[in-house]
Amino acid sequence: MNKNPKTGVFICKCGQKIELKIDLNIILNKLKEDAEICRSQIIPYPCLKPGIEEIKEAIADNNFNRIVIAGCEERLMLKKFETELKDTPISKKRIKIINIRGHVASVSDISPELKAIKSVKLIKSAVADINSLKPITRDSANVEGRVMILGEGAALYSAAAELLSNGHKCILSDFTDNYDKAFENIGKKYPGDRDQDKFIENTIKRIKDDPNAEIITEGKIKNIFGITGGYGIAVENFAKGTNKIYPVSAIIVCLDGDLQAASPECKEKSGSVISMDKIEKHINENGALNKKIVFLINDHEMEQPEFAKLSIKSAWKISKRIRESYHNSQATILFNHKIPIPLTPAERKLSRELKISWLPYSDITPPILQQGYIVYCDPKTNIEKDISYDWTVLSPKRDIGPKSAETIRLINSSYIKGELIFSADPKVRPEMIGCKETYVAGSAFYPCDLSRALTQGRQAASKVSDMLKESALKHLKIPDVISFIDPEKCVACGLCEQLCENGSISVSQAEGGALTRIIDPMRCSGGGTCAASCPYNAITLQNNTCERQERGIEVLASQMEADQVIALTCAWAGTPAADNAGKKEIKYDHRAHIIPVTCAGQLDPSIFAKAFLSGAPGLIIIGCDPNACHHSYGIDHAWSRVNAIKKLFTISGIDRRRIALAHTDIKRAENFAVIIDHFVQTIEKLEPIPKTASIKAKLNCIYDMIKYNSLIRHMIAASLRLPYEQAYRGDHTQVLDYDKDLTKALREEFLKTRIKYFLKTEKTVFTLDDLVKLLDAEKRDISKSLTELLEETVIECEYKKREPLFFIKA
Amino acid sequence: MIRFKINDKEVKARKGWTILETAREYNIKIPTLCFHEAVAPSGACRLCMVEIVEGNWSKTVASCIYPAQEGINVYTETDKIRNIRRWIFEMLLASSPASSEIAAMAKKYGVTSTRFEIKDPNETCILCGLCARVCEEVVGLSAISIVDRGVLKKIGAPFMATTDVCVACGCCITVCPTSKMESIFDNVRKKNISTVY
Repeated sequence: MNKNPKTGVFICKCGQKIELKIDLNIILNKLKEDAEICRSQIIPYPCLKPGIEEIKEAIADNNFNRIVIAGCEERLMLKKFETELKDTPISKKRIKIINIRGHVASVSDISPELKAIKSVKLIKSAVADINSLKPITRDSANVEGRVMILGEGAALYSAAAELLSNGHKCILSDFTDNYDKAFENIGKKYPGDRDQDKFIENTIKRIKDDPNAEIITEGKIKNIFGITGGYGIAVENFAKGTNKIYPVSAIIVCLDGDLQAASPECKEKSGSVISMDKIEKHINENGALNKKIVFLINDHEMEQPEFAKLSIKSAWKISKRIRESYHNSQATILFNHKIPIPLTPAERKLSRELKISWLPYSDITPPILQQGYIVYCDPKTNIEKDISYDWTVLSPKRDIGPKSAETIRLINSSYIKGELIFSADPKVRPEMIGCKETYVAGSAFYPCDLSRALTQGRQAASKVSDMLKESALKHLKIPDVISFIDPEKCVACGLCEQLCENGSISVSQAEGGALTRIIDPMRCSGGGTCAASCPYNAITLQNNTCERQERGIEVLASQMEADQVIALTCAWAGTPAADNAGKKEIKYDHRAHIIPVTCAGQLDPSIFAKAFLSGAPGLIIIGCDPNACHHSYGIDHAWSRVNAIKKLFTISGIDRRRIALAHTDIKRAENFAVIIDHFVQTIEKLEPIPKTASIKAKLNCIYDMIKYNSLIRHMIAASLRLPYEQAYRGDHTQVLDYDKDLTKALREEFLKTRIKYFLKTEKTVFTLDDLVKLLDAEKRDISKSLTELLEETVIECEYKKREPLFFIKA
Repeated sequence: MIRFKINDKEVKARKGWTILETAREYNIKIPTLCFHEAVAPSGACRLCMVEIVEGNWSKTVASCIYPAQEGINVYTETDKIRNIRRWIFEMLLASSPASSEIAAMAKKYGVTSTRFEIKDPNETCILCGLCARVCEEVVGLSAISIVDRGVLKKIGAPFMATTDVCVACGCCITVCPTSKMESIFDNVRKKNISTVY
């Protein structure tokens, strides 16, 4: 395909919705002068069949390889154009739609001529953006081979059974072929759950006999590396002192929550107060003849109400077994009246027949354990009552055991929060991510009973099985926009791995010196915060690169007048709000020019710097509310980057109000208009940025520094909020200390950048005093910077009449 | 090339074009409500009805799904069509009386009141199904759909509860011809980003 861009622009009349409000002929005439555009034409409805046929003909006649459509909402219409133009050279990602109907035509009362000029600016920017696209097309993903079932959760049985039935090979890490031990393990995690014994027994037998199932018998799993379709499990091989690597295609993680004995203050030596996981053993040893057994469901009192339902189910199952085998025993379940009883009608009937009594207690006062009695408050009458017991069974304390925590650390795509393991779930469109699911199962992820855990295992395995089958048919698609790490540039600092919300970044090999990172194309959602924060610019967001965005904003900014602003709107809040404002014809200031982006978090700070360097007087980034970001904390990351630019503005004497961050929501179109109006008014009041050489040089230095200075980029990236963090990193106690350090570093590095820039542009030699005068800075600071620059061998110096003369190294 | 007439004007269409698409190409106005360029037409609202006259008999068809045919005579503004439109608007005013968008559109076509029974004075949904179609065809998710049947039909997520399937892209809000979707959006999307498995 021809690499030189040939771009066609199609302008929609949209019936009369655009035609009446914007003077389309002006657009057409202005675009004729643009060298980057091959041809532009007006079409009544480019989105309907007649229009699409017209576009197809134009593409064929002019050999376009990129098109820009000036019409309405990209997020609605793009898919239709992509499907309709599939057979033309305009493959995916080579179409750009800009919303002149919603962002220009209907949102202000200025004349059609002025609206046309505004549209031209936006179209030119879109053309520049798409012309600098370096399209990368990918084949389908290849996932084949064995599947690893990691962890010792009970779900491993159902997952293994499902995989084996589908004819796949699997490896199990924590599998015991000893029946008693297996049941003991399950009993510890799911007390009283014996319904699935038969299934588990059969599965153990099957795994033992099936040649497709391999079991890692010795050695500890030390590391997991690689990507979907090409994982490696490094197992410590004690005998040889090296690691044995098992290559696998996919990983299913099965983990159960651990049960600990209930609160220590309730422990009694005589054994009349016991924890739920011990009761069965206790009965087996002592028998339960004529015993009064009370199950106290105290999860609410232990501050883990999410587990109350599980405890109550276990209590029901255990008491059922007790009543069935010991007719003279009594079983009572004392539960918080807020918990609904999770029994089916049939179970309720059985419960009545077995004479198991269910006693609710009011939680205005917690039940108090006495010797031989429990005092509780009756919720109906609010009278405190007593119930006598021989044995009291308490709910267990649930958490994630150390072994599960270790496994989670290995797989890197999940994180621990409280008593459960979480996986981030990027809320993006299906075509933006290869496989959204993390294949996990068990009660460590979701409070569940044994049968639910087994179902989860089966579901995870069937999804993996589907993936393997699709891969065999070459149907497994990789998304268009994903990050890519250049192994040549990667220095293995690991920042991106921490920042990635999907756990899609991992090390590329088991061990070695520099463990460069690799991105899993199936798991990357194209959020792009990794690319925007990489200190060494090793990561690019393919098909949506920073260069492309920079180019788009550069062209728009260079056309700005002193009171006009650029608004970068995120695809999940800002753009929809702008689109809806357009649909509702909410009026806002016409001086705002909207550029839609995917996520505020993917904007490299160099894009902001570029906007100002190219002449934008103001820039506002409109994203989601921080707790509603679709890529975890993209908006928070944007905050840190905007903050850095603000600091640099203060240092260089530019008003820091020129750049701002705003939050909105899809539903708040009115709020979008308020944001725009306020920001434009702020910019309007400011004196224009002076177009002097010194300001220009400073803006150039800001751009240079924020894009290429690894130290500063590292400092910003290290402060970003991580996917599992609940608060801003800057929210903790050392916030001012960090801020002080950052400001200091920015100040020092900025001066160094300025000296470098100055020596580079002037191309002559300077004395220290010259530099002090020309750069308008403290002598002490400059001499310090010069020393550092000399150490870094960026500049050189020679002495003339005992005075040092500085110049840039050739 | 298919030649036919709309309002006695000669028009040319190609195979696969509908009457509505051809009319729009020739700048002939036909009102629509459930039609959106991003999704396949469904012919649900019947507002785009046109009359096809052949000799001394005629039939009324929904122009958004009726393909262009050689030699037919299409009329968009006959008494019959105006009558149908009036009926549809009256029914819409009864089924979604709270929608200012529908009221404004009806007024444009001269309908300001309805003689049908208003069951729910706060209803704004016209059940055109655009939101569900966009979610399925454009977003590829089907997080929302038309639930229940007959007079109980409504738009929502399964069990009318918030759902993980919804990615909150807001396409449904943008295409909704009334403000219904905006008011029920929070019953569909989940707000937090991390989910328990």
